[in-house]
Amino acid sequence: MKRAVALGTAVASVALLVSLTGAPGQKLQVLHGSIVDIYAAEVVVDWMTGVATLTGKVRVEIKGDYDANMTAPKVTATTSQEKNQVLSLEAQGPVTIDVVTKTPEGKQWRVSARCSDSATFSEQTMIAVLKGNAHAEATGLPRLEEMESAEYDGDTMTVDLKKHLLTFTQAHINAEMAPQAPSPEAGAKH
Amino acid sequence: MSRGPFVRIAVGVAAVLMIATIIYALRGASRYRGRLRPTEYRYGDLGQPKSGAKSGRLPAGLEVTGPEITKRDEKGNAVWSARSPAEFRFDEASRSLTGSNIVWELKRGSQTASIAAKRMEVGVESGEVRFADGITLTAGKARQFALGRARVEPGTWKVVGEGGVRWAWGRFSVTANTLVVDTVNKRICLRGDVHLAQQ
Repeated sequence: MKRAVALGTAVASVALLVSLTGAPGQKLQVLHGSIVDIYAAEVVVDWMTGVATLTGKVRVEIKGDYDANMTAPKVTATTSQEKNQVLSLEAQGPVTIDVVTKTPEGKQWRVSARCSDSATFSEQTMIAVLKGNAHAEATGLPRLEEMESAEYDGDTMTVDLKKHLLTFTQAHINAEMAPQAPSPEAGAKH
Repeated sequence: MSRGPFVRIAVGVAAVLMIATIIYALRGASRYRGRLRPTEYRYGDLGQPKSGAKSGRLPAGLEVTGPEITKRDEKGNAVWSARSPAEFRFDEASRSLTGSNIVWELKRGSQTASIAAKRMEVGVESGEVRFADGITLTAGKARQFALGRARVEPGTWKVVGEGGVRWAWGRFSVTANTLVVDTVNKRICLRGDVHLAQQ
């Protein structure tokens, strides 16, 4: 049997930290990854500035200790030839980000996030920030009856792929948790 | 004494001369259809016909020096050059210059690009330069592309390519259907199923 938890919309701008690892007392892991594939209909590269503009069903796939992908109609990438790196991505909405975590314990979470305005992603920090009507659904994998799931809505959402953290401002959360395995870290901090 | 034999001889000689004249004229008309050895032609007057040459037969603005052909603008500045270990051919009918195993270079101030290709064709009237087979386009450091076909648009001097475009960009291997390298605005445009894959 599931327990439903509903929290009202935060009056002030607050940060809502939700651990996606699910294990009580578990230390946050620093995970590493990088962009491995980018698909687009058109890519324009300004070789003086190192800025690339990608348009047409852009899809960015990130691999590491997790699988993540970001889709958007337009993405601007700032690159560094010296560091051989994509310094940052700025996506124009609507933007979606899907993340499947892989923890050493074998437990997995799928986070499907979207926003209407824009999103940024840094390959160095592995942090994505979604702005404007951000919405996320976190589901334990495999999706069993007793597994946890939660939906989050907020003005701005930060997805930290290294630390497995979602951070919301102006958040509203609706969570369903298995009563026998509650996670003390999953909740709201006002 | 009969004059019949002399008349017949005169008629015969006239016929032979007429045939020789026709053959000479035909050879002259097809003069530029055959091989054009760079070492045999030098048009330092930028396409103005040399004395004795018929106007309009030679590609205007093309200068052939040794194994290299140079395209010059109206001020005499070099626009591009092409080198070939083989020979260049100029076809009068199609008004095109062709070469094989070419190394072509754009020489417009800061606009630099080079193309190595198995085949090159220059449209004399259009000014368009086309390449095919085994093309490698280089537009500066870390900007080397492999593709199947390419053309250089006169005026804009954009290199437009297609056919299995491949580019090693940093740690990514990039593939696309078409490519435009804008040497004026320093931009690369890749279109059609663009894929950047980490190498």
